[in-house]
Amino acid sequence: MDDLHLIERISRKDEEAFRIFVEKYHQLVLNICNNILHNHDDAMDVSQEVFIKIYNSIDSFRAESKITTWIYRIAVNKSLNYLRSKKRQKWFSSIDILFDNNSKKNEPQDSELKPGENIELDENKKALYHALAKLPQKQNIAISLNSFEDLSYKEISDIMNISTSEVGVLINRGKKKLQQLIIEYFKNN
Amino acid sequence: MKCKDFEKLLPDYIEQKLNPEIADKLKIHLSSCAKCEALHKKLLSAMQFLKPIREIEEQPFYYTRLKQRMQNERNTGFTIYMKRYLQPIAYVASIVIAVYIGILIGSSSVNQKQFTDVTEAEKDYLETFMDYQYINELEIEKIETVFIEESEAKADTN
Repeated sequence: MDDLHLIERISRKDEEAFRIFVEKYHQLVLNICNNILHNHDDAMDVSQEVFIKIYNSIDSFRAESKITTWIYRIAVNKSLNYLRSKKRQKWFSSIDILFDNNSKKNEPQDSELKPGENIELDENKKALYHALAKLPQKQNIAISLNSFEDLSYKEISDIMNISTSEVGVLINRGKKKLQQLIIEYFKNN
Repeated sequence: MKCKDFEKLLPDYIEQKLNPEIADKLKIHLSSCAKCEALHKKLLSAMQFLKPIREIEEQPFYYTRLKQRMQNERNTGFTIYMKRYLQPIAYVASIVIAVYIGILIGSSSVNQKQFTDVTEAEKDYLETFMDYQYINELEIEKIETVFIEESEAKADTN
């Protein structure tokens, strides 16, 4: 069954078509989210949000672009929203710490990585993810899609709704900044 | 070359964007400074992780879990609606009411100026009243002394 036929059936709220669609694309969505969030549990959570969004707004899909481009766009947006809400939570928890010294004891040392993952992750990999998280969001997304997802500048420009030359600038500047951030990380740790 | 300059130029050196002259200086520093050499190696190996990855395999019960979540969200739809829309509205409304009450209290409180601003007529009245009090005090004293004198005189005659 081709994608367009599947989408048409999902728009009629056909559960079986949705199941086939999810089975077909869940690994792709999971990996996109994981490559932006660098956390398996968060990726699992956000990927489900992506499919719920797809199910609810399937009518807004126009066959002008590839279905994968549309999926990428939703997955990237959902992951970015998640990162933003996590930042907000961090901000509020830092306020809580100001008023409640006891909460400091419960706060993990590095909130971006869980203790188990800290052990598993190679120090260099950790430095890279730490630096990526500190990059401006657009640079982070462009580099992640280009390097981890192996997408071309054209595909990234379609997903991010920007020109290919802008994608090039984002990636070049981003990589330079990324290396500086990694150097900083190694100097401080 | 100092270590600080080396760190600044290292990203361009890795990307091979430096002119040959500066790149040579960097190489010389690299061979003579163990700390910078280690940093160079670490940076290179960190950047090696910037490659296509598919860490997550297919999940056998993914659809079942997704359906469960969709069902839960349908059931808790009202709670989410409450949290997302009604809660902020309630917060804003309570702030507006608090500000309104504050303004009401502020406008109905006693005007401090009304005691400090004394008109000319009021001044005259106050001065007259003060004089009268003074005079009256004297008069009272006089009457008292008269009464005392009278009572003493009566006592003498008796």
